[in-house]
Amino acid sequence: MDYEVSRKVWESQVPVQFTLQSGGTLGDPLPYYTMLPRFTYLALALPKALTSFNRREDGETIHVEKVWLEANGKPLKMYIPIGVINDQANLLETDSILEISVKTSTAPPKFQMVDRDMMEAMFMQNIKEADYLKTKAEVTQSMMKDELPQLWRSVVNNNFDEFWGINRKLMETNNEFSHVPLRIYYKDEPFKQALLTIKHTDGSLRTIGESIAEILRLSPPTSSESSTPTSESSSSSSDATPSGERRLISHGIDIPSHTPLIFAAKNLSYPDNFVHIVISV
Amino acid sequence: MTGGNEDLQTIRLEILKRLSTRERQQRNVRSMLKHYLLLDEQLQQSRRPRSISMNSEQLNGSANDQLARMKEEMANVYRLKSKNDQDLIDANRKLTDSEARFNLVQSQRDKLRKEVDEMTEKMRVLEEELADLKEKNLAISTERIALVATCTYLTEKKTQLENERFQMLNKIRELQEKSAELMNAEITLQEERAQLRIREQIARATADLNLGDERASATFGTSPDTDEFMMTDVLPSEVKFKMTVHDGEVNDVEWMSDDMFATAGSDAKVCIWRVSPNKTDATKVSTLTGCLGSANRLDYDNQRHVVLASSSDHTCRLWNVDSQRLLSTFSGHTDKVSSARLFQTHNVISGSTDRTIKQWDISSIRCLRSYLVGSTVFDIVARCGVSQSSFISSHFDKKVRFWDARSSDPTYSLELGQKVSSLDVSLDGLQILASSRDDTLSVIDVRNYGIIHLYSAEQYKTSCDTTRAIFSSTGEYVLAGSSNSSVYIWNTKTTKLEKVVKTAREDAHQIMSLSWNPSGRGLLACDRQKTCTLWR
Repeated sequence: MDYEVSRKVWESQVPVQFTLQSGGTLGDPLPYYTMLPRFTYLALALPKALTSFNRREDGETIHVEKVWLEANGKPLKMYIPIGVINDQANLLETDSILEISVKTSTAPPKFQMVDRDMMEAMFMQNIKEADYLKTKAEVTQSMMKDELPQLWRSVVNNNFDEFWGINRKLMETNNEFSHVPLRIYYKDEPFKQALLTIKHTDGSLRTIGESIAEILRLSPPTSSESSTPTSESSSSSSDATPSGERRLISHGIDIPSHTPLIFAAKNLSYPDNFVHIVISV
Repeated sequence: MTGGNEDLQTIRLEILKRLSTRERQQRNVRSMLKHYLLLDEQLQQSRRPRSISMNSEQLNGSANDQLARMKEEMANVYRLKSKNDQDLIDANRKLTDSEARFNLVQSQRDKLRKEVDEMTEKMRVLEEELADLKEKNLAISTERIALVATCTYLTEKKTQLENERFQMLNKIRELQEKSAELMNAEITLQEERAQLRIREQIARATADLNLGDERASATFGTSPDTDEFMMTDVLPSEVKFKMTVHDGEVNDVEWMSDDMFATAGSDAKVCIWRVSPNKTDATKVSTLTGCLGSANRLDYDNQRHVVLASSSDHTCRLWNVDSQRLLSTFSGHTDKVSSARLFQTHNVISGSTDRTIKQWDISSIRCLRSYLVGSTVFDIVARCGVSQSSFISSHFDKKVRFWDARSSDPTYSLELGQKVSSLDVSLDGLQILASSRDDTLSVIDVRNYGIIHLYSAEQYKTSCDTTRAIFSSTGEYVLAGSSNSSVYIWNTKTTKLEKVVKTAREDAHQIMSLSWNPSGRGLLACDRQKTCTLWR
């Protein structure tokens, strides 16, 4: 583990503005502003915003299960870390506040409210899935019963030392990773995921740029359905776009495309052990 | 395709540089949002009732000072309000307590006032009672004074009466002594009178005898024939008279002499009658009174001129015929005295339905002996047998008992067919005639207790226990009254029914008693219809 990189990544934050749009008879209260860690989730931040909105005595009480969230005119996916949501929203600008609208009208079909308990379950499931890609789930199966919930609690409480006290087992395994957990966010499509080994057949380390190119080749961008093909055979196709024009955004910065994949997996992962990269064309 | 540590280090440094650059870019926004949060917290705190003034903002010092002063003032106002509220609550509580206490005192006052009224009423009632009691006490005192005076008067009267009583007792004692003397004189006179009677009878008998002799010499010429004819009983042939002698049943009749007879009735009287010379009627000479119940049986002593009657008042009484005075009353039986006889010159023997026979002393009017028989006594006869102390009684239990007065048990008992209602003794005292309820008559020898003769007839019936059968004056005939007002006459020796005589009226009254004139001519019969009949 590269402590310096991991620490800076953990301490990255995002400015967020929550604006209530309920259309009440007395008008809407003022927006709620806060700085949120990048690794946290909206399921943990939304209750605080609603508490601020409900502090006004003459207003109608807003319940968390009766609202839905919107950003840039699109419903939000509450199971994605806030850092990733911010990277998607600020593709053209580097310095802007993430604006989230809290609406009380009927939620659109695409929106799915995720509460705290659901988020905890999804978080732990992601860790198990990542470990399966890396070690065939050997580490998570050998962990004690309370260690996974402890990972979640350290994320909720923003406790770096407690988190890495357990996450170290998942990152420093006896053998090399079989595959690397990597998710690509391209435009407005669901994330893309493929089986990627650390090294090429010739023994050289695989880079981020190469991985992304391969994923995009396997999953054409025009496809409307997300799939995770398991085929490792790489067809020699020459339709790849020039890597010089593509920006790989993660944790709010552009990741160099020649970064080894193993380094990114160990130091640039989110707490759910996945490397989330937003592609900007 | 050169992968080595140098490249990795370069990449690492590039990443760190980019992260730092981004961090610097966000520094302004970070501090701004931090201050925003602080302001928000301050706003929330200021809305609380007791807020802590923040001195960090010097620019708003005056405003903060005013705000602090106002907050302090508001706190004071709130404190004062709380105090006032508490005072109000306390005052309300005190008011409630005072009202409750007032109501309690008022109710107690009402209760006590009611009690006072009741006590006043009771006192008035008691005063009235006291006045009444005083009046009563006064009246009782007055009565007491009167009673004391009366008591004094009565005490004096009592003393006088006691003195009079002592004097009367002395007089009674003197009178008793005189009575005893008179009784002794009376007895002496009776004895003298008896002796005179005997001499007269002897003289009359001598005269009669001479007269008989003369008539016999003149008529038949032989003296034995004349004597035998004059001593014979004459059967009755016609009714001379029938007269009422009592107000009720006539229980007994007895010739006292040739022309006088006595009757005993259920009207408690004994009457003495004299037959007229022509034998057509009889007049009452005197009435012997004293019985309190029916007079049942008569006995007459020719020498002492006394009549003895047994009565249903549990007594038998003795009268003097000449002076008509009651000499003695013999009391002791506990039931009706059926029969009584003069006995042993100075005694009386009586039989009663209380199943006892008593012997009495005439002079001392005292019961000498009681014989316990155990059966009702119907009749009793004395002057029979060879001894003067013998008497015979007839009973309910069909027996004829022979007694010696010196022994408590009967000498002999003879049983007949039915209850033995009457007894009669012959002239010589050696035979008795017994009448029993089986409509038969028996003649019994006193010496050997044997039945000599038995008499009965087809129509002869008895209807009560007190009917009487008799010997004729010489014993030639035996007679008995029947229930159809007839008298049956049998010959003693031949037991032949000689004659049946009837009363003038054809009624069915029972003849209670018979008596044959000592002269041999004249039969008296009495019945239950107040009448007495004479046949000659």
